[in-house]
Amino acid sequence: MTQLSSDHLIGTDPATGNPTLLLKKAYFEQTAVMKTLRLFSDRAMCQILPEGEDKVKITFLSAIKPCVDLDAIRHEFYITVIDQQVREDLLKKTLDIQKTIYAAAFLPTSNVVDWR
Amino acid sequence: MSSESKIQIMPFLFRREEKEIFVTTVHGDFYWIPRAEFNKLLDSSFGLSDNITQDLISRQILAIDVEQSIDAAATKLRSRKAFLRSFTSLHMLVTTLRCNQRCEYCQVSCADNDAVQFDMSIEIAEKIVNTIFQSPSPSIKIEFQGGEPTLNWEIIPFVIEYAENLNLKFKKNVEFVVCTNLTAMTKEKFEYLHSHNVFVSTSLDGPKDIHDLCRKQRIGHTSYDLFVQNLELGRSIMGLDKIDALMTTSKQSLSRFKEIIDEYVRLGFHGIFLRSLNPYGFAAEQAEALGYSSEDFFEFYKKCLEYIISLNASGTVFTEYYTALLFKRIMTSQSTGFVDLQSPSGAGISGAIYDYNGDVYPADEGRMLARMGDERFKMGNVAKDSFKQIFTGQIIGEIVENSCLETIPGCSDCVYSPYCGADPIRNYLEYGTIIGRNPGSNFCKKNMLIFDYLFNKIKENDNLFLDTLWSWIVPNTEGVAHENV
Repeated sequence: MTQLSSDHLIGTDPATGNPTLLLKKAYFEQTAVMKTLRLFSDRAMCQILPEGEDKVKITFLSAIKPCVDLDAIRHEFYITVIDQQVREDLLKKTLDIQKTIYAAAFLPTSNVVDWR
Repeated sequence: MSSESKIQIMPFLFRREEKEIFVTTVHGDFYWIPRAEFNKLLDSSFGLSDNITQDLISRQILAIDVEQSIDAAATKLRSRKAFLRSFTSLHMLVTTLRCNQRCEYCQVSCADNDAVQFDMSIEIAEKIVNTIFQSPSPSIKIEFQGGEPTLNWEIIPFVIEYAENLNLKFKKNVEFVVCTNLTAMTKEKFEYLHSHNVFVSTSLDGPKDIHDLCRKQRIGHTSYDLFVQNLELGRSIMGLDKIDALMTTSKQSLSRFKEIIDEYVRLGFHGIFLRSLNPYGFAAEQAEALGYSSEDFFEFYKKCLEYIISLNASGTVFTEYYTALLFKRIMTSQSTGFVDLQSPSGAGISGAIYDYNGDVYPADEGRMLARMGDERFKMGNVAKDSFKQIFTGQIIGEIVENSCLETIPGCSDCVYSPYCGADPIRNYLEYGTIIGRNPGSNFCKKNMLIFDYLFNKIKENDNLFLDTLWSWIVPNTEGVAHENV
């Protein structure tokens, strides 16, 4: 296995030769990984399985479109899941403010139609 | 900065680009921040340069006074979504399913010329107008569609005059539009429309051979000559500005961009709406012959736009309406409701369509589905349901709930979501679910490519391009100076 960083590892499935990516649960939440998987759903078939207690393993099974290179997809996936985790962290930091902005923007005013 | 400890990070969306991180906000502001600075932004100790800090504060991406920034962001968001306040204003009436043309890409289910059983009756028309005037919207636009609506002409004057009479009581801003291929229009009909201040929306695909390729008459094949003849007749009676046209792009149009624009200019139109083919009805059946990829459409769009910009630079004032709409969304906080690209979707809450028999649908695609046997989107019928039953029912609630980009998987994280919209009925047609599957969808791809292109022009500060687009959204100017963004 090649070490991408101390906590996340790229490798190859020994049985099939498919590219794999190991992500440590301590750094990547389920929502970030699942959202990233969805973003790649038109390009590659991916499998996600737990690997021990603290990691998940993404296996890039096959390309959906003929021009897709699974190794390149894995690299792009890794960058994307990092960004997605940043979004999750940002959301936690700013969720209350976001709720307040929406409430302030859409709370009833005299111009709003009263449906009752 | 001395006040760094008091700085608060506000919600934003971001996307990694080659050298920078592109940041947008739900209230529509945007900024390109160098990668190294972005890392500082995410780090709660900050340490950003003063210039960038000020830029971010002015866009409510950072805040010193959180309350003030929330107020500013909320005001912009409220203004951008002002179209939600009024509820349904666009009401489309299908006066008949009959059509004298058989267009290759028609998305609606048109019927033969003599199929009068598909004509709207006066009784149904009256009930429709009564329903329309129950809408709380202070502005009402009644659009006559078909088939070819002028084939069931008697409904048009009836609706116009009945609505005008009702409006003496309701005092709304009422507008009428007839969507017609012009081929069944006469001097008397134009005179009637002119006397009631009615607008005409028609279709022109380009020069004769392109227009006739898809827009065929049921008898005689060519429709172009009659179209031009009646366009001239209509303008001689109604004036130049009362008749506008929409263009539909087929595979055959892609290489003919210059001729299509030239044809619009030659015929005296002030702009064009470059519309891609929808994958419905005959167009879906003819996908092989007429269809193209989102990438092909984008190349066509780009060439058209560049040509239009060059025309404007040489003194011909000519607008591409879709670009103008997107540019207004990007550069201003003004409300730009557009039924086909709105969050939540405009289907039902901004526009609704009344079939010839009084059935009500949130959009034409819903009506088309019903004709194919799937009444999934039928909201009710004016003969037996009240306005409240039709417009506050389960269908409209479901559409709104599932078409807010802010909550749709994939869209909620997209940097372009503040400027984009959802098309739930198209999603249902293509994917069997109203939420859709945005990765890889043509709708998403097309709009992403266009947004990439426009934002790249803004980032490059392409003066000619931006001045021209400003002149489109700020009428009565010949281009205005703008600051770097």
